[in-house]
Amino acid sequence: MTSKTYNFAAIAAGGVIGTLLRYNLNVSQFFSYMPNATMFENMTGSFLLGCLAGWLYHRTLPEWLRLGLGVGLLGGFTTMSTLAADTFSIFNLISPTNALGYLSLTLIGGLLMVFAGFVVGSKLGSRKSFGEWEDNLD
Amino acid sequence: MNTLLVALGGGLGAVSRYFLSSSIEKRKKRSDLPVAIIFVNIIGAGGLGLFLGQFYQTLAYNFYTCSFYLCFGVGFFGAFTTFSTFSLEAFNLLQKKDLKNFFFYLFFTVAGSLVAFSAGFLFRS
Repeated sequence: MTSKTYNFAAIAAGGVIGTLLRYNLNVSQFFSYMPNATMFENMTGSFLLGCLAGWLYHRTLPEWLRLGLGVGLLGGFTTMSTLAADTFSIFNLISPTNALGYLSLTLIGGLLMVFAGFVVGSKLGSRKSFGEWEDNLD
Repeated sequence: MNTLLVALGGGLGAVSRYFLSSSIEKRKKRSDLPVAIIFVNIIGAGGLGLFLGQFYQTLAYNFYTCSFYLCFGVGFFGAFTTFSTFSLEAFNLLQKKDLKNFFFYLFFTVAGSLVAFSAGFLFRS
């Protein structure tokens, strides 16, 4: 298999896992209101992608793993289409103010989460003691 | 069965996103804006709008009881679009202190996705 095939396989596998996690959170009893689940997923996904980017600032991972985690897993876990759909529904079914609130909270929250994740990931990635086993991954 | 449908849609969605975004990435003319992610998110939001308008004509419905929606709405379009990469790219623009493109990026993605979704939904419903 070429490395391209590995990349596609890793993205497909990551996408399946990320989407299933999102689906299960959406239908879980934990969130009584669906947009809250989507908000939660978009926030945690942004945080983790920030972590990954921060980590990769100091270290390397094989391309398939990078793509599998970033593009596949976290890309599949978070979603923009549902965000647009929810904003549109809230606008029409509840109120424009709520829609604006939901949208801006998600956008600002996402940025803050990426930033926080980047700081954490970059801290972890720059730690020397983490290095030994990690270097064997390449 | 529903789990399988969500998984199928999600896997296909993520792979299609990668396929489309990397082919846009190869052809694009400007390097200062993450054009590929803008396109992917707008197309995905518009696609979900069209899908909902065509088959459901309403937003006040318990979609999660419908396998067809789970496969396409939650699975395919959910995974085809992405919020995490969008946030990361926006953060990168902020880090570069490229405020102009940061606001362009935010505006194009948000307005584009909302307009595409609404237009898609209203087109058929």
